Amino acid sequence: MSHRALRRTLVRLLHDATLVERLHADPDAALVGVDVTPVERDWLLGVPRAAWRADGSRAARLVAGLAEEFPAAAVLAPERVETFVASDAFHRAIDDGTSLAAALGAHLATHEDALVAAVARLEAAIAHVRRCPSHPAASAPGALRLTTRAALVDVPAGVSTWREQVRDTGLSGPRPPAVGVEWLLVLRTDAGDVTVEGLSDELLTILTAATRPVPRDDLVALAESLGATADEAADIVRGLEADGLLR
Amino acid sequence: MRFAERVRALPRLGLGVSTEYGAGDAPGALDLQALHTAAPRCAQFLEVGVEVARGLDRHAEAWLGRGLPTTYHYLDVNLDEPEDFDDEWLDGMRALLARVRPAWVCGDAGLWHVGRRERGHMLLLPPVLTDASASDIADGVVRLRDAVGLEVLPENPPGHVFLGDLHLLDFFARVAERADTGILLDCAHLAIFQRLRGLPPTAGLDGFPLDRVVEVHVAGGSEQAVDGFAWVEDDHGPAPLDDTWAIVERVLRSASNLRGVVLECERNPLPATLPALGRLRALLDEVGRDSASEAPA
Repeated sequence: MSHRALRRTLVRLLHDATLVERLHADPDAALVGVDVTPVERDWLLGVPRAAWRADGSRAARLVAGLAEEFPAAAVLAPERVETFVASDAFHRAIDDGTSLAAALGAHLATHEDALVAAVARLEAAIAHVRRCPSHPAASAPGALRLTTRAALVDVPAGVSTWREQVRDTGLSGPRPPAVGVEWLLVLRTDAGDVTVEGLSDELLTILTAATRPVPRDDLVALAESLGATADEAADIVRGLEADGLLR
Repeated sequence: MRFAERVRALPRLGLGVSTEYGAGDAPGALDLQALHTAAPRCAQFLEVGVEVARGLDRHAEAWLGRGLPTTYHYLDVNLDEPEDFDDEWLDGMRALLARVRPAWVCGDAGLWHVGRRERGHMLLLPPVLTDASASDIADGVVRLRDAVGLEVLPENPPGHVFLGDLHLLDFFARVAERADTGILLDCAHLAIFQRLRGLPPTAGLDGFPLDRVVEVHVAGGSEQAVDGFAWVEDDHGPAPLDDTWAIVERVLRSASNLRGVVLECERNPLPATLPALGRLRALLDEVGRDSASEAPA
């Protein structure tokens, strides 16, 4: 096992008390999938159990920091936040070196309440675009695509407004009727802020088509097929470029 | 050029203190300007602890504005992970170094962030103390030194769980040799390690290449215990433990290439820091390793 992989296991043990218990109860089962040598396994078992929890607030600090990016979902599902460090999503993220915010979002999004799960997906999309490169690469000449600073999210109707109310008040408040679906554009601006806006059907169609690089002419033709004149269609695509939505 | 030659070009900075972003805004925090005014020989330089993504706070800017000496302590690179040296981070670090103009770069050779360098991933854990890990960290020291054009001094990190088959000092001796570098020896962190291993504070120093020690850190710590497990919290309090002082006294008398000593006390009021600073000042005067000066031309 590499020292880096061993250190990732160390991180998991320092945050998840349940893993420490499983390590001592059944080392082979606790370390399944971890390529650990017998010597390294003995190093882990040789650590006094109390040492793993010496910094008693370590996990809470980590989770609290991450939960700041899920202000509404954390209010609606506090028990999910508390169990994050014992979740598969947490351990996979540590092992894979991927985003812990995304992992928390995925964990929250498995909530049995579909509205709470939708709030978590929306806040995960906000966290995602916040982490995208400040200067996304341009598409090949003649092609355009949706900027990586944007995400398209579908949630039950009313969820976006509900999320804002929960975030701002810290209370769950009246639930939305959730009849139908609303599509939202999550966009990080040049200033670094993240905005969430509803999308018209026409704009959604164009942006969805541009989730992969597509010839500019195809996007103009698509806008025309949605009812715009040729000049209007060209203006629409140019406007999306000027707004930084298409690159 | 070998370390033994390069180190001669480093200035003797003397005794300094450290800061991190926002530390000076905390209630009861050390007032750097007041310290420099009240006890200039205890604040001969400032070690600026920096995350590239955050940059400098107003306290560091004020110090720089007075043209006073600095060192740069990174807080955001895992030396043993080559992928951590991405262009965006390196460009940001170079820009900060151009602003700070430090005498050298230093920082804990540990895990500063788990996985990617992003919000919510920051921590600080020691390396796994194995030969392979020492080689990877040495590679990182050379990589960073080449990238920024300054000496890079790896520091022994704190921790209360250490894995591996090497003593901390053996580990850093290998890092120093393989990277042909000086090191920053944190005496408080070493004291924490020695206690965890049940060793005397200065165990292992006799065989350690103390001529590699360019900088020394000193800080207070608090003794903690949970369910029978005792350890020292590296809380940067104003009063170093006796174990730490034992290491400091031993190291300062033998570190022939020492260029700077830092008391890490950024979150303590000035009066509380003066006893430790005064003791360090007296010790440096006694051993004759201070005489702050510019590097020879």
